[in-house]
Amino acid sequence: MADRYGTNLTRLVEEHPLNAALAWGCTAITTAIGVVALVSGNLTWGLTVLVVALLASLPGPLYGSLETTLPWELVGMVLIACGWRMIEPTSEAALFAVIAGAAILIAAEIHLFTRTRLSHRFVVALVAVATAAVAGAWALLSWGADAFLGTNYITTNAELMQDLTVAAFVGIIAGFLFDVYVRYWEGRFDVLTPTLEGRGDRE
Amino acid sequence: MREGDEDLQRASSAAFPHGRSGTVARAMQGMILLAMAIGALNGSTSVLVNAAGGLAVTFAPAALERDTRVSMDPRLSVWLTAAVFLHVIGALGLPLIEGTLYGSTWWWDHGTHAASASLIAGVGYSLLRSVDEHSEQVELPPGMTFVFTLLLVLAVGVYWEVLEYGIGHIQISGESPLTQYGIRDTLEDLAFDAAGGFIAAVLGQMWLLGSHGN
Repeated sequence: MADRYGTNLTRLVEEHPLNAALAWGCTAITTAIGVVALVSGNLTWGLTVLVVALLASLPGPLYGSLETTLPWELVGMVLIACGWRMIEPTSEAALFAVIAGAAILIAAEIHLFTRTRLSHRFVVALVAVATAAVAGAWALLSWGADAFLGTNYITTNAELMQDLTVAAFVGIIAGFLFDVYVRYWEGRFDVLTPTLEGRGDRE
Repeated sequence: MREGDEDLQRASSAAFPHGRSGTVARAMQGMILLAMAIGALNGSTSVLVNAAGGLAVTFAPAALERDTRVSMDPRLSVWLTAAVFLHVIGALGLPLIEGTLYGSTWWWDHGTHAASASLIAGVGYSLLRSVDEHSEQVELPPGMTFVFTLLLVLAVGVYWEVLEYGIGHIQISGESPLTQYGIRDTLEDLAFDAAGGFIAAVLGQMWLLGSHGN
């Protein structure tokens, strides 16, 4: 199941009532955070959280079984990041932790639902890279908005550089945490679910 | 010929470049070495550090191929040497122009960023192809390779700016090896990174679809 590119990720989805209950609970709280943000007028942040909640709830419906979810620990980590940003709305570290969490969910679902197969080490690198890339793309989009829409997102170079630096480090830390998690959890579950196309290795 | 033999042959041809691409790469490495000497003579730490660091980087593909199973197109090492060459020449005070190309030619910085980004895209793309081939667990359809290449280019652009910002706070005998000139410079760098990387990723994609017909 493992080669030098890392552990196989097929087991990132599992069918287990307790796991499902915990994962759906975390997803529900995440959704609540998103709705509260939307209602209080914070559109971008609210939508971001709702997209994250949607990502977390995708596997159940796609596998046609609500007891099939991502491991609850992953969904829980993303919830913690969202909660952190809710409590500290100005924390860029919290924001990029949410982005990194979303990157992990997206990577897992790309692996589970498309022809693409990823190993856990690949995801570690991908999460670090994607978080930094999103920060860069976001900076460019904000700059465009400032120029053409008259907004004022980007103020000083020091502030921009702090955001980019934080994003770069948070991405790397998130990748590291995912690595630790996969190593810890490898072999913990017996119930395996093959990927949707049925090409996943089933032991 | 078996795939492994082909890899081995490609690896050795990159470690010991021969033919026209090898000569071009060697010539540019020679000029980078010359720039390093000029930097040392003029007492310009900035030129010295950039040329020395750059020269070391030009030897990376050969070292990488020797130590790993990753094989690279020999043209990549010429491309790499050219990007480093443009950067070092830009930082060097040249006769006939005032100051440096970075300072006097407004598009030099944009050009070097686009060139390096296209290089990162090329290297990243080759790495992804090689992981796809060598790992039984990783399968990357062309579309995904394209997206991951773009992400990598943007991320490396961000890492570079972070590095530049960090190094900007370090002073070696009164001057810093790398400088950020302000918010506009940072964002323009990122924009040209994205553009250069995008063009290279599109070309790579077209080449892949053309030659493998997927």
